[in-house]
Amino acid sequence: MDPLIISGILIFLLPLIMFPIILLLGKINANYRKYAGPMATSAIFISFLLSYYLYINGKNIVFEGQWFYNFTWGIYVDPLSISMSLMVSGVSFLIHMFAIGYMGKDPNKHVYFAETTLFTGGMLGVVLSSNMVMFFLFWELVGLCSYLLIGFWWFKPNAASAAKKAFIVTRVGDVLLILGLAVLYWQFIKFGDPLSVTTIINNAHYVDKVQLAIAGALILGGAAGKSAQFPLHVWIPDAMEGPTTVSALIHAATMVTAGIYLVARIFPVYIFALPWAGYLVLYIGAFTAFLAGTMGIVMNDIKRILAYSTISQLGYMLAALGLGIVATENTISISIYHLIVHAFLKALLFLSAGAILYSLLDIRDIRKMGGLWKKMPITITAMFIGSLTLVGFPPTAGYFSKDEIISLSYFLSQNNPGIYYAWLLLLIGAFLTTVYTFRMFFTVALGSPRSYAAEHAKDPPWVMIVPLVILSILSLIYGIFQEDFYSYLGEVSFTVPIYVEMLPFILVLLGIYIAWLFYGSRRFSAESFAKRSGILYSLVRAKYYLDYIYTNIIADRVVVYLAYAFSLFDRYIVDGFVNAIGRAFNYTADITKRLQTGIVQNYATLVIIGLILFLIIGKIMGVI
Amino acid sequence: MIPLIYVLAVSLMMFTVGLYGILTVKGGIRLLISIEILVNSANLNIVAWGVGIADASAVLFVLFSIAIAAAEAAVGFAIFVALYRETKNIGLKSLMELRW
Repeated sequence: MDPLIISGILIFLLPLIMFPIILLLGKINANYRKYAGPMATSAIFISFLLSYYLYINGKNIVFEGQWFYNFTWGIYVDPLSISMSLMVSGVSFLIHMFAIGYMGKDPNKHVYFAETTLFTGGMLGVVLSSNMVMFFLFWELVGLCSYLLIGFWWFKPNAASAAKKAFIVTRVGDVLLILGLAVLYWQFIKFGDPLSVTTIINNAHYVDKVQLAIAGALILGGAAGKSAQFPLHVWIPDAMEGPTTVSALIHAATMVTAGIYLVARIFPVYIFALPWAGYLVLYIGAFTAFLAGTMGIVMNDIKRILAYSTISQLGYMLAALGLGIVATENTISISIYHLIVHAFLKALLFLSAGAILYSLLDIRDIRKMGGLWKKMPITITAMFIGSLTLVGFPPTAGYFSKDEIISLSYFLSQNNPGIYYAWLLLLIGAFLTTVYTFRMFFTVALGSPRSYAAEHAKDPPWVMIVPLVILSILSLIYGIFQEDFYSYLGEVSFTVPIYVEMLPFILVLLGIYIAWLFYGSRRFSAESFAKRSGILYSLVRAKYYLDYIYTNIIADRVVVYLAYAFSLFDRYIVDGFVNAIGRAFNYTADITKRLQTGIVQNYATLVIIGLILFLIIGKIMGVI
Repeated sequence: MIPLIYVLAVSLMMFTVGLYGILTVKGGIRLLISIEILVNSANLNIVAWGVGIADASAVLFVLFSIAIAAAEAAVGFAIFVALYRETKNIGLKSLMELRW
């Protein structure tokens, strides 16, 4: 086989193989557990090198082998999947390296590293799969690993219930995804291998637009579950109960980007579908970007603030894809560029948050931090760079990626007025992002320490510093590669008036100024402002009662009774049907078994009567 | 010499009596007696035919048959002795345990 194909398969196979090895080594001898981190990290690094090898040597490699029935398995390598695979393995490598320090004292670190390796391997499999069935298997593997890792500290009740919540909410999306794949299968069966990515991409324009729109909407449901889009975003803030490195892995490299990748992968399905599918993608993305921003402002848990910023930024990526679908432009490059920049900056922010928690002994409330810039300068500087990149402050990479999406939405709304509101939502989202990011940053970094732990904070060891520095540099300079990236993945050229282009930047400056007034110089009190906003504040603070609606109304009032009804159905209809067949035989047997009297003479009589009848009949018919 | 048909008629009568016996009797010993009558009717039949077609090997077969009938009667008695130990009774009704 071609070495390129072998290396493409090894990219995701290698971490998968490392999973049992690391787990068993740690089980056999507790002394080997200290090698778990370096082993996992080097396996991911080899995956990264292999991805780089593919990036240099091949642009489009498709390998498909017969799997079962009319399904194939294989790898689909194109610029989209190579750039994703480079990002996933690269960022995951840095996070693993950080975790060697962060999880160093955990007694079960071999389990942790085995699971994160499996997690990364699953995500690389998602990225490289050539068939939607294989894709779905890896997709579920990623979901399973997220469950295991969020509940890694399972002895904390919060972590256990958060893991369950993440699993169940994404499962809702996965059911929709299966239905979407079923529609695709039904529509593409006439082109041979029905769920192969190649078939779907090449034949989408032959298929009925209505069916494509239905399939697209259902698949979007799956993507919304994994990528935490409204209304399935509720699992992500609770998922913060896991180790911080897990949050970094989920938010930056693996898991949440899978949904965006899914929509980008089968982009032609949406392009050739009815327009409402495109508007659905666009407005779910744009609305999520706005909604998550409002909730981020009122959170006090540092990791939850970052979680809402992830939801918001994923909204931008989905909206960028939606823009391309509505205006039939190839905007994958813009969306994926933001995805990669976001992976760098979110890994950076989570790892610096992890370093803070490492130093502050797991205090997560930002009101108990404060004044950390003097105590742990390297970490907070990294966080500062991450924050600037997140809000899109020039010349960081975020400026090139996020403002591009906002400008593009304005440009496309010139010909297509339906996009105009998306532009507004994205613009307000950018402003909200700035406010909550710098609210967090000012509260954490400035002022005076507000707890004993914060007074004694210090920078973490070098193994945790190195990833922070690398990610900071990437966040700062990755903007230079914007044009190269676009030409690699497919160019979109557009121009907008200078005042539109400057608008996000002005809003960023305004947002930083407002955050400074409230949280930096403390000229205004955020508390009294919150009190005056009244019902609006309590609405946002309660996360729009979505969690309340899901658990107390949908789960308790509907699902529980529905489950009870289903259990009755199962017990009395399904089981009853099976039992009825058994009972029918039983009753018949009860009647007919009376023939067996147990008296041998009766049997002998019957035998003799039979014999006589046989002889008489034989005689009459002339046989004997 | 008595014609063959008379001997066969006696054999048939014995067979009918034996058959009626095994179908109707209630006691174990009577059952064994009925079986003996059946066997002996068959023996008589074979001997009669042996004389009728002038073949001496028929008499030999009947000797074997009598020996086997004796063994069979011994087995039958053994079963009824075992039954008696279980139920203090050798009526055929006590063998109804094997149904359902």
